[in-house]
Amino acid sequence: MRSPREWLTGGAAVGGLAGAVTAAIAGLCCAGPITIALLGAGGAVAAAGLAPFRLPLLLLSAGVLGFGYWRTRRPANGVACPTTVGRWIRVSLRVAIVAWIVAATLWVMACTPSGPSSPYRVITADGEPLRSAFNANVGKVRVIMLVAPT
Amino acid sequence: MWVPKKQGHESDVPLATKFVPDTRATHFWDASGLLVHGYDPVLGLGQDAWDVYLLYGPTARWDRPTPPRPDFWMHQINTTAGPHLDPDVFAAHALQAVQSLERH
Repeated sequence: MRSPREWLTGGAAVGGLAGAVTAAIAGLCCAGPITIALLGAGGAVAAAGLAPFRLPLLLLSAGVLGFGYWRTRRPANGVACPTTVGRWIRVSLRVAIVAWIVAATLWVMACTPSGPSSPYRVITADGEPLRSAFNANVGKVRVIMLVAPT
Repeated sequence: MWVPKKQGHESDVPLATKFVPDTRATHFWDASGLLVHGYDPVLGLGQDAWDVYLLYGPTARWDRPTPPRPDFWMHQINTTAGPHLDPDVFAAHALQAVQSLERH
């Protein structure tokens, strides 16, 4: 079972890849060769394992998004992105921007130190802090279980 | 008390603690096996002490280097030093200890 932090980091990585792929699709208009290459790179990264590449993926997808946004807004010969699917391209670009924001948020959350401290304490050579906890509860019935965590 | 047995590591402890969600429970990690080895002579096991369940009454204190001998204990390991774990029996002993405490 994964911890919440693992889900966040995994989500950021997958979100970064999704952002890059979506941004690449969105950028296909008038920028085909470059974005097709990026799609290939994204697939290779996915195959190699996403986690170590989540930040580069986010930066890459941000760059592709910016480029795609610029391409769809830049008038070419007087018309911005003059294809029949231009409207869908722009919708895809908006989806990609939302995906990127979600991915970036997940990544920031994963990098932020979690609030509660460790849910357990480590026993030292003199038996502390178990010894103190044990003696602090004199007057109560106590149960100690020695069990493996696996 | 989470102990380093069955290839258990400290990284396994946070998840394991979720299986004991009772807020009265305090979780510890026996990193060096201090209690695994310390309870061996206390219980007369002749082997590492783990998968053992120890019940202490209200007067028990830990004043010596070794952990105190429990008032009642059970286990799930291969030993004849004590009774094999029966959750109902252990719970009955725990309940009896609590009721005895409440009467005083």
